[in-house]
Amino acid sequence: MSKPAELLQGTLDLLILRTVEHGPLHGVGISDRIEQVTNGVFVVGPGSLFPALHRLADKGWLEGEWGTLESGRRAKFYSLTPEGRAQLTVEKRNWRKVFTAVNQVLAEES
Amino acid sequence: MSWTSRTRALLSGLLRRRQVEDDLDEEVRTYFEIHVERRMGKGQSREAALRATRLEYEGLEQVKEKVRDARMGSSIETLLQDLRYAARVLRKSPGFTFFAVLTIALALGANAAIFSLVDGVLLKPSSYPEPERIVQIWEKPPGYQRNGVSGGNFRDWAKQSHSFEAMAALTDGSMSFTGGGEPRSLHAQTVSAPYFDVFGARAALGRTFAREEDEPGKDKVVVLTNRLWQGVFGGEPGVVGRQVSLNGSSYTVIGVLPGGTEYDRGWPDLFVPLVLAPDAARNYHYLRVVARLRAGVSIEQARSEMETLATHIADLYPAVGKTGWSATVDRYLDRLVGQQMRSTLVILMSAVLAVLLIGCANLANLLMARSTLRSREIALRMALGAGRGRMVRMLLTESLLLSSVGALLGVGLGAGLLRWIQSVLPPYYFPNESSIALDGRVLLFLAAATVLTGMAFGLAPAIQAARGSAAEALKEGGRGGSASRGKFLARQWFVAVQVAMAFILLTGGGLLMRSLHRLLNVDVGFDETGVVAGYLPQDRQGKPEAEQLIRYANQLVEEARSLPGIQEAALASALPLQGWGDGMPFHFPGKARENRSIGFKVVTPGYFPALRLRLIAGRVLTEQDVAGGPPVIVVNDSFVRSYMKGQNPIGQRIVANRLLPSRREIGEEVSWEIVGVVSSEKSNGLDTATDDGCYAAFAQVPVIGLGVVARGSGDPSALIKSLQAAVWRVDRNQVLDRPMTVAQMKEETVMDRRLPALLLGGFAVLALLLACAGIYGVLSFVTARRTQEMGIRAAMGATRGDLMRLVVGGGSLPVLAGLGAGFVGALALARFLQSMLFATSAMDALTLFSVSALFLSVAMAACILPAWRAARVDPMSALRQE
Repeated sequence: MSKPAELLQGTLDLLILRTVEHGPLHGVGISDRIEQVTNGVFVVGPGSLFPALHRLADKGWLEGEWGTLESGRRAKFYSLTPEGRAQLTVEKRNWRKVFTAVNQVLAEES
Repeated sequence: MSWTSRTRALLSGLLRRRQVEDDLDEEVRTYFEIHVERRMGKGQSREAALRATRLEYEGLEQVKEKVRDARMGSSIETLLQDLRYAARVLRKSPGFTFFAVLTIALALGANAAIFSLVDGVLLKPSSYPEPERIVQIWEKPPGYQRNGVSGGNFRDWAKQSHSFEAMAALTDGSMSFTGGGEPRSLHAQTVSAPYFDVFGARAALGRTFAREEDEPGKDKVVVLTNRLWQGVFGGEPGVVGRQVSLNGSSYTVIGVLPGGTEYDRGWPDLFVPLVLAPDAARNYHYLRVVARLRAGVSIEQARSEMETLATHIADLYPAVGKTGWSATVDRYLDRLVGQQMRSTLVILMSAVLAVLLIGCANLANLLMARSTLRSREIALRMALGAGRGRMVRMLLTESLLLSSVGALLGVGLGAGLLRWIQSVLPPYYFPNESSIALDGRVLLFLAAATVLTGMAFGLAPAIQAARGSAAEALKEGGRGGSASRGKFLARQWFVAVQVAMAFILLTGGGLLMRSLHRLLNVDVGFDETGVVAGYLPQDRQGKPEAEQLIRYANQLVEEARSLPGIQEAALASALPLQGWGDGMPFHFPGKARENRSIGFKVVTPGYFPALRLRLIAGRVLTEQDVAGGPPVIVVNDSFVRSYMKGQNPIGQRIVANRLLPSRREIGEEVSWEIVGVVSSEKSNGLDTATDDGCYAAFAQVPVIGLGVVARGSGDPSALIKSLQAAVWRVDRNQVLDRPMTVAQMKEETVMDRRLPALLLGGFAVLALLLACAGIYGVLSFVTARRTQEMGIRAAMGATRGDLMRLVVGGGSLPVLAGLGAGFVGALALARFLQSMLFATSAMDALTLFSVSALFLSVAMAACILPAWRAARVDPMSALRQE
């Protein structure tokens, strides 16, 4: 496994929103999922995960609810609010714009 | 979500901080536990797994701290966002913003000023050390609670009582200060040496009186107030030890009191020792007595000791005739603020709070109307996923922004109003102990009031806005119809409550105004136009000679009479409207002594023509009533009505003691022959029904402590100046103290009624205007939304009159309901006000009628204006709006 990449400013929000898009997940679930999907490129530790989760919840984009894990342990599950869903669409669009633009610059170079 | 559960959610959000902390802790802990368990699943021991997890991540506490930081950051960010948005919205409707800010500024400004008074006078603790140990002691004649204290009795009390650490007697007077240039009059409090020990006061410079300094020969020392030290002595530190000339004697300055304290707010400019002769009289009650309880002695113990002591003293001196006299001991602080002032302040405070409530109701109304207009925008935001909480917060931010801006302006208005109140009131209206200022305490109150107002007028519309179903609002196309029926009802309620409160205030203000008007027009018993008067301070410590006093008085009167522009001048032992000077027990010869007393004024003969007192029977005093002649007296009409109804008073006699020149004791009993009856001069205040008094000739009763009255024509201030000059021609060191026109004196005596009347009247008018703005606002809003309906009605043949009746009919309902409720409330308030009213019934028909008429006409105007606009609508254009 190579060294995890530095996250771009604001990207973490997008990753989290996208990760919970299809259903509620708790903290460990979210960081596991991000690590899995990115093949270990992004590893999100609790020091950046939880502040991001709470910030998104305060903005009204995420909703946290207490539930039970298979092990019987209580955990807080996060899911998208309707407003969060709208925000995700906006962020996806923005990201694509930026991604395309940067790629164009890179293509020019080669 | 219902109104109540929404509020509960808001509140619990504030109260559940602890819960949120616990949640966060559990959440992060779970994260760590899952990772530890994973490692244990791979065969690690728990200790090893824990260690490895700790190494991999930051600690639990650091993570939690980061979360808190993030939340703080995001909440500040949203707050700023909301504030920016609110500011933008408010800028977009400058008319509304201006009205809202002005309303809040006026209401909060009035609250700030009145609360400063209430706080300074009623709430702020006294700055005396252990103030509960300070007491005031009185002599207690049979049938009364409190009487001034005689010098002889005070001496015995101070010597024989054990309950007190220090006891002091005091009396007020003015002293002539001659330090080069024109003499000036200084207010002096003459006090026993332990006076400052009673109050626990220390000098800021030098010292206060030593124990023996109220003994003859050691008493030529003076303590200055800071105010006087700064004002007259330029704040020079070398003043201690300096000699100053007071009443022609040389005094040594021994100390200066600290600045900014009750001493600087009080009447006296300086303090001099009170010297009591060893054989001081027991029958002249001119002293007030204060004392400090010994530590551990209760006021009840002191009371019972003083009662025993006073009764014993009364028995010891039967010749003085004070059988049945005892003593009363009061807690000093309890006596500072009278019931009258207390209720005045309570009424004013309630009035400004009512104004604030009316203002809030108005703004809530307006905001609700706006939120209806904005329901489309709100619905859109909610459709896009804005949470209801977020919408409520946004609207609350808007209202809090409004109230904060209003409050800032309000502080300025309040400070101005407070300064005005203090400038109009006579300086000694409030007790010295009260420090009235728009200070930190007041600002704190204001801040709380601001937040509460913001919430009060912002919450209702915010909840309403958040409650509405988004889909419905969009369907309605922002026009609102059946769904706003509830809102309309709520607004009608607001109007009714506003009207009721404004009506109550207006009735109260009206009653006070009417009572004041009646008081100012009361017959004072004399003709006050063109009369000026002032006091002539004289040294009260010496033993004046009767002949000398008479000579001095004659010279003064002659000199004043000779002035051009002065028609008549006289001396009197008390000035018009300033009390009788002395009250004297009297009885009819041959009849049993009863507990009766009469106002006793010593005058030179010119007093009667100078005041144009009406002669009712017999004659007034003349130059023929001389020292050796038969003792005669002129009584007033009130006395005759009280004691001699149906008899001819002329030639009858009353027995009363004679005043002695020093005015520190009373002389032998004299049988005075009544030679005349004059109209009753109001002496003890304009509102007194009976004012029994009599006049004796100065030549027969020469005393010190005089005032001069003069009747003249022309400019009163020029008159005062030439009177002053005349006095100086006789005695270079004689000051004319507090010279003013009698009309001014009259103003002064009603000031304590004028101010509450003016303020309450002002607040009432403000309330009326606000309530009308509320009525107008609601009606014009409702009418505007019914334009279409009006158009249809007009097209169907309704006349303008019909349309106006329709609108006015709908609008006047809450107004009438409010008036009805207000009427009941006004009656309740009036009952409370009754004690403050003069010759005015709480049910005063004229006041009630005119207030109702005023209210109805203004309220109707507020209804008719929008109705008239609505009725002018062109049916075609109204219909086309569809």
